[in-house]
Amino acid sequence: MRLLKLTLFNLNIILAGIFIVFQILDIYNPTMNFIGNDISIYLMFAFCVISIINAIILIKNSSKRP
Amino acid sequence: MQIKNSFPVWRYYVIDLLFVAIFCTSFYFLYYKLPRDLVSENIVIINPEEQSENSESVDSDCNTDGDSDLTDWQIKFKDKFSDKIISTKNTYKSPNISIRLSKQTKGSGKSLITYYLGDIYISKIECFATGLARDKYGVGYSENLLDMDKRLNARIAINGDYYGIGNRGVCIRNGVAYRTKADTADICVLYYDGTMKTYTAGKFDFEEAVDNGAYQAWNFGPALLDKNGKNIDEFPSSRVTPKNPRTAIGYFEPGHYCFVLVDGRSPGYSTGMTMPELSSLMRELGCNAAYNLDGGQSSTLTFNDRVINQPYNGGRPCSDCIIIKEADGD
Repeated sequence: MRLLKLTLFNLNIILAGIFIVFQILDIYNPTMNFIGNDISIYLMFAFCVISIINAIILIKNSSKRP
Repeated sequence: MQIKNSFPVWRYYVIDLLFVAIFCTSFYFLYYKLPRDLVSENIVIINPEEQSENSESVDSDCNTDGDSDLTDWQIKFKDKFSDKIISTKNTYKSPNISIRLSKQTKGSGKSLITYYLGDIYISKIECFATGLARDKYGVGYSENLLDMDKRLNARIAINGDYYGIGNRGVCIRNGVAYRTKADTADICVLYYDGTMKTYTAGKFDFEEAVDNGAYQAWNFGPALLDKNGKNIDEFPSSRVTPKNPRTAIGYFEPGHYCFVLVDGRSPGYSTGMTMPELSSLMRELGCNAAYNLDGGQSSTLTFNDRVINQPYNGGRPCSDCIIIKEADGD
């Protein structure tokens, strides 16, 4: 379980990093459409799902604390 | 959450950053550079005039008028064409094409701007053609403009809209619609009747364009002149709006067009143009419609089988080109 959580947290950072890079590239050259292409849309979906899972884990953990 | 681990936390961040870098680099090469075919919608757009002529000419007698073989544009621009092919360093004349190439400058010193103007008259729309790199429709296919120029027997050629950077945006080439849906970029349409119009993405209607006989359509932009042919002072902010090498196409009237190639990123020779400067230039030239194409390192112009301008860093292979050539069968 710990490994799964660790993987999810790191995936979240990786996906966030990817979208920051894509955003910067799109500002420089909007025609490339890094954020709007077919694959990025699936990545964005994965990013959202992982973010929600991580948020739930964090809320759950913080509510356990005294 | 605290994770007790002998592995230092900062190393996770470094590994994450490495993953980001590896993914982004691989994604760029696999998605944008690796050649792959795209599925074309493959809609053949027929010239509405030919369609109506075919249905009307079944029982018509032969016209023996002396000008019967001449097109409207051949008559209108009679003084521009010649009976024989005459080719010089800066001009090309034939019964169907007239091209006058000139080198112009603006400003001086370090802010000098050098651009090339190809003033073009054609007798029939088929002389205005486009070509795809390696003759394939897809992403990642690219070819040097000079190679495409020679392969397609072009008299003059410029780089196109780099349609092959992705799979979105309208793409109509030589009367075949490969893609029909607009994305967010302005669209330029050349119709079979020789008119050229620019549209914002929201105002482009593919069905209407087909009904009006769309022959070519590019998806890059922005449009450089407004509906009334006036120059535009403000463009949406983007990193590509500063001074850069530029490629643009201009429309005066059916059968009369211009190619404009602005060199850039070479202070002392040419700094390039901002989008408002390019818009102002197209207005000065007297264009009624004008459209910006792929620029930067792509900006290349060839004439009589040689590269005319000084492309930045030697230029780069492009996915498509716009050419003027003798119509097939001439």
